[in-house]
Amino acid sequence: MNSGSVMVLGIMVGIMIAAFILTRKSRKKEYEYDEMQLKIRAKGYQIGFFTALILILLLVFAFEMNLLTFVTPGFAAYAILIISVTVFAIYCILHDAFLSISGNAKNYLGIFGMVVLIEGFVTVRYAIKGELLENGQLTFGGGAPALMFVCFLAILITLIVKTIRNGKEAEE
Amino acid sequence: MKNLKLKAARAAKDLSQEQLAQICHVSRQTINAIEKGDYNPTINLCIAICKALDRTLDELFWDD
Repeated sequence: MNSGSVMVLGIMVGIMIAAFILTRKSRKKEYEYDEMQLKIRAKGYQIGFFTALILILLLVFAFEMNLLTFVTPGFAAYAILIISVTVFAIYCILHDAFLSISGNAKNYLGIFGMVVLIEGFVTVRYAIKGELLENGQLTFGGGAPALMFVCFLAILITLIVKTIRNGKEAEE
Repeated sequence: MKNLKLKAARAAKDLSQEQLAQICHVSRQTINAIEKGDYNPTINLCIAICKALDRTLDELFWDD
């Protein structure tokens, strides 16, 4: 792993710790998620798990058939993990089970917006330097920020749309 | 099937979905889903809603 990858990993860990501390402060021990939300989250975990399972099967098949030559196996495995988590998050957001009862969408919008900006910046930097690909393959170092950017952008857009829709619904 | 009795009882108490949700310790979306008939609440939540609206289970959740 090169120094750039270590820096990206460091930024990611820092963001995760900051997000954990920020969300922990406003966390209520009781009634964090209500019964409907818990049911939806359980379904979300199931969907995320099966997404990972299907992608792993496709990955094994693609590597066996030499169809996936543009990514390294390490990055492909990482991508499966991130994509499954993104699927879970989007499912929960769409079904109103992502935020806890006392959760505030604005806090998450801020955090996700920050992650999208940082990952976007890192991706552009890698692209300009021509380090997104190594020997014609998307590696962990170049691909991880790009994937995080895409996934967090998808989560952010879903959260914004859902927040606006919920706001309108509440007004009615 | 929509639960119009619940919606009417909430309106009679002059409570918004958000206010009823806070009393029952659930999200506004859960109350909305119950009113729209998209979610069948557990008996515990039904009782909490009935207590908040001063109604009986029959009055709010029994279909004739």
